[in-house]
Amino acid sequence: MAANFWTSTHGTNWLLSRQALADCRKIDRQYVNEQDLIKVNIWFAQIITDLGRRLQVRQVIIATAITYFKRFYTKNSFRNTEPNLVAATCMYLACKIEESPQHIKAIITDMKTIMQERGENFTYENQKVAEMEFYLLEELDFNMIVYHPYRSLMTLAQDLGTKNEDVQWAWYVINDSYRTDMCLLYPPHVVAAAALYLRIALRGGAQYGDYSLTSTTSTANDNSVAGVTTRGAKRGAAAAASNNNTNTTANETPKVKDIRLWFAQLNVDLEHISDIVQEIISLYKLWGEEDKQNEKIREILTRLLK
Amino acid sequence: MLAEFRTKRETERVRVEDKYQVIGFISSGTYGRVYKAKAKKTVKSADGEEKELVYAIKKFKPDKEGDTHTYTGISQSACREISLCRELQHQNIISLQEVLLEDNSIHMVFEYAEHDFLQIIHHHSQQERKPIPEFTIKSFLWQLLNGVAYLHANWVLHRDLKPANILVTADGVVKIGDLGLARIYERPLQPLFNGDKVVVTIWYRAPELLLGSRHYTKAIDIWAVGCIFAELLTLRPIFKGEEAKMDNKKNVPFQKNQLNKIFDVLGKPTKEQWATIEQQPEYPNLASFRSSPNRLREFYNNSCSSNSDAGFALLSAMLEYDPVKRITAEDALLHPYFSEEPKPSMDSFEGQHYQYPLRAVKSEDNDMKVPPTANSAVQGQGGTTHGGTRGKHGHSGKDEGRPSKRGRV
Repeated sequence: MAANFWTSTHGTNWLLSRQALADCRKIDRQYVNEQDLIKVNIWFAQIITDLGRRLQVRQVIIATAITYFKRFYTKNSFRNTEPNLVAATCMYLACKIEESPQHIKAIITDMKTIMQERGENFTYENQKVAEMEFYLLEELDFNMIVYHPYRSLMTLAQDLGTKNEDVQWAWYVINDSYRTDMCLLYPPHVVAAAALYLRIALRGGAQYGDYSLTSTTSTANDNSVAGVTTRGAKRGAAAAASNNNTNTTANETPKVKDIRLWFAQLNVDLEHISDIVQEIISLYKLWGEEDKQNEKIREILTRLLK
Repeated sequence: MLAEFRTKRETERVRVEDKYQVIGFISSGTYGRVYKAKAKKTVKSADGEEKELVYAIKKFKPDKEGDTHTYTGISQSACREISLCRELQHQNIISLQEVLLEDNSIHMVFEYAEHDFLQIIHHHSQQERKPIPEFTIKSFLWQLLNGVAYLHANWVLHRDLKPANILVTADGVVKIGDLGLARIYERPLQPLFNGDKVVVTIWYRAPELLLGSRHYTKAIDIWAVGCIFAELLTLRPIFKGEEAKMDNKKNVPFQKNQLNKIFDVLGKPTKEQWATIEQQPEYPNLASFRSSPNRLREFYNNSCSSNSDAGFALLSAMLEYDPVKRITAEDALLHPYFSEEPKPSMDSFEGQHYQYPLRAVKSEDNDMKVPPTANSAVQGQGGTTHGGTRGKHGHSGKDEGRPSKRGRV
């Protein structure tokens, strides 16, 4: 388990194929299209992230809570549940499991605040969250230990001799990946490799400013910069994926001469890496749009939740 | 819209009584109660015989029973135990069959183990008045270390190893139980100390913990295994100290009495033995102790049922003061003691004639919804308990006066 991802419940029960995931969402798709569903997922991931920030919990706890939320919705449709309650409960359970328990009242108070900021009311009290926790545990099949890419990132970065700022950047990308379905589709070390790859590929097309990119990924409220990210990342990813990009970051990664060889030796499917990279790029595009269109998400949620 | 979901969940939910028939009550503690039960469905074994599957069901009581207003969900201890048991799979770790939720209570369904170390130690000291055969002790110890090595390889600390928590099946297979205090320490979000101020039952608590160390390691489990080894050899706890109670402000007191018991046998530790001893928070308190010699050899020769030098060497290696120098579970498994005759086996009872008593089960208390009758509840263990009985599905209630440790969460 803890020492071996592949024998863990995460590795054996909770990696889905794209087809299986699509099947899980059939009911929701009757009411909203795929793009809208992606926006809904971004929306709730943001709610959980904001809740975690208010509670001042660590990033790993936020990641665990979002993973619980996504796992829950592989077994249920949004329509038949109350996603805000599920979100708060996921955070409550994640804090316990990650050994930083929060009082149930603190969760509820902070959830009320962040929902008010969105013009909504969170009307649930203790016993509702406690009741929901029971249901959540059942839906998770009591599989509560979740693996995240952060640890793999540190290992990979160390092996590669990556600069701190690049590691930081990849860390932000991993945070952002929880707004996508990556945590349901790929093992965490593959997501970590993809985050690092995205950075390195971007550096290959060095004309795009790195630091603005960092702030973009963490706040994502400047659409124009996000646009640059998207194009830059696409170009870089495409170049690296076609294996033409021989001059990648040689001076940035002193421990490794040939970056392509290094990735090849990772024993990670490069197609998966480019898949994740594409997914993250389209996330940034959608995310930017969604942020300005609060009305739009409200309309989607109304349709989805009836 | 939640109503719809709730209905769906409730109809899908498997009821405990649909699958299991409760045979009787085993034990209880602050966590809840443990029952013996059999599966209603029998299975056919290889030779075509109908076989009954027996389980121990641990029913947690909600944190505040009956009080729905203050009910705050499942306890962190239950959370830990379930999450870890869900991941762990090893022949020397008690296996969790399934978890069922009913009446706001968690029911953990474990494989059943007929015996435990404590019960067997008692049987030899009270009934037989003869030591446990060396073959059985060695098999017990090897299997215990085998399970601990697996936990440690997976970055799990047990943190409450003691005879009552080490179960043994009727076939002589050791099963480490009660992971309610266990933790993954691979990626501590919080220093281990912050979560639980006190871990490990006092008699089995490692010296670094007694000296206030906040960054303890898997070596604390090995110390406990060493104490258990000694207890198997002598049929009584090696360091039977008295726990100093926490004061009202929840300050952790200095455990002078327990340290004295350890120093009586192992001598007062020196800087040469334990390089970082002066950095232990409680080190200044050691000034009042007189220095004393190590008498472990004497203890081994006079009180222990084995005369193997390798056995002594292994015991010393597990009771090493310096946690850095203490033997690891993995190295202990390779110790020469285990290649000496009698060699350990996965059936600790192989060729042995002892008939250990079956686990006491109160068959009149076979309704999990009703608290057991007063005289059958194994409660109120005296002595130094300040957290209530531990969550073993273990012993039969013969350890009056034994301390226990509930994790402070």
